[in-house]
Amino acid sequence: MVVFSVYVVNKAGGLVYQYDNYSPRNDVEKTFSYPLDLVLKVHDERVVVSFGQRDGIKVGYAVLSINGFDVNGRYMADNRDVLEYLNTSFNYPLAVRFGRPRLTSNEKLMLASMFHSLFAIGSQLSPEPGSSGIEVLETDTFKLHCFQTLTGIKFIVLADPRQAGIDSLLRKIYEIYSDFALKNPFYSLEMPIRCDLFEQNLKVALEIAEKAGTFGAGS
Amino acid sequence: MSRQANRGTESKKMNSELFTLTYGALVTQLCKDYENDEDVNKQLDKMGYNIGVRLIEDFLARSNVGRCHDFRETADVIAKVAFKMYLGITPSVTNWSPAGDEFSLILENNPLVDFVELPDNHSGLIYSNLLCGVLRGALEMVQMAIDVKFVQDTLKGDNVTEIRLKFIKRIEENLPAGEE
Repeated sequence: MVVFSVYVVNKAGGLVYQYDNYSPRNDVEKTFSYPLDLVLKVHDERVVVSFGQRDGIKVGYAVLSINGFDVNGRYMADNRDVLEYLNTSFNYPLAVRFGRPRLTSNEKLMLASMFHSLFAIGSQLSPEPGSSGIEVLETDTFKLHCFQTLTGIKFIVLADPRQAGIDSLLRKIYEIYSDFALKNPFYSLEMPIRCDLFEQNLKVALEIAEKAGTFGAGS
Repeated sequence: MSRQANRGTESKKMNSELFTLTYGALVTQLCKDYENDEDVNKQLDKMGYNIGVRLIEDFLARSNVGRCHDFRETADVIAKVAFKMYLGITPSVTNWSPAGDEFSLILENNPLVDFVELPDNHSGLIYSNLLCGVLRGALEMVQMAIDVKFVQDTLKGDNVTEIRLKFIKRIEENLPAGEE
């Protein structure tokens, strides 16, 4: 699995489709005794580690569950405050699972429109006239590929940096979009895509792209 | 998926009679629903527009044409690639205005009118007006505002069918980032 996710952004910068194909899980569960030797704080309605990296628990990881029960933001299932619970000595020993918090759909929406603006800024900053916006954004762990159509729709694929054949995958997604979103008479333009056929065909295309890519799964 | 797989650049062929008959049924129904031809023309144009704004993506995804940098290039793509792809005909491009902002498409055989004889009480009907809407809608999505109309029609006794396209302006506000 080397294609992480797919985004479709309409010409106004609104996210109309998002699909997470594969997200690496790096949750860590550990049993703690009192007192907790990690410094926690509340950030964006989540309890996150702010200091004291250890045993694969990194700064920025959020508390996902306690003793196997999922944590809902900064509250536990029974509405007790997570920080208070963790500061109470008679609750220990405790098994706490930490992990990178998943992006919420709201956050994805925000990031997509932010990328839309960055894309525009990119093309304006260019020293060469007539440059396109951002086509590839490369990091240590993933590569973002963006394809903008003549009509202004952006298809964005996040993939492993070594995954090959993303350009043709982007063209393929454009075809699938024109077939299964636009030719569906009940899909209204510029609106979020909720079409099963679109999703099914997209998944097939991703599988094919991953198999055809030069490097194997999970690497 | 099997459908996807065998749809490369070569798109699926279909019997054009089914298409022309369906279109005929649509027009006759509109003629029943509306009292004057003017309204029917307007409806056909509106439907065409709605088709065009979707069809353009299919066209771009499949044809691999890049952005046109002048209206002449646009005319070529419409006549040689788009009409060929969707109607199986290649109209000729003629009658350029001196400014290069107007041209005509001459349709030798319009597949929409294969079996049509226009009755006397529908002299105002522009039978194939859907095509105008399609062209207008599709070009609007690639940021070109144009005016499209039939100026000659074999159905009305003219020798040829002629669609006139007039460039109005680039729609700057819709221009995607990175396009001049």
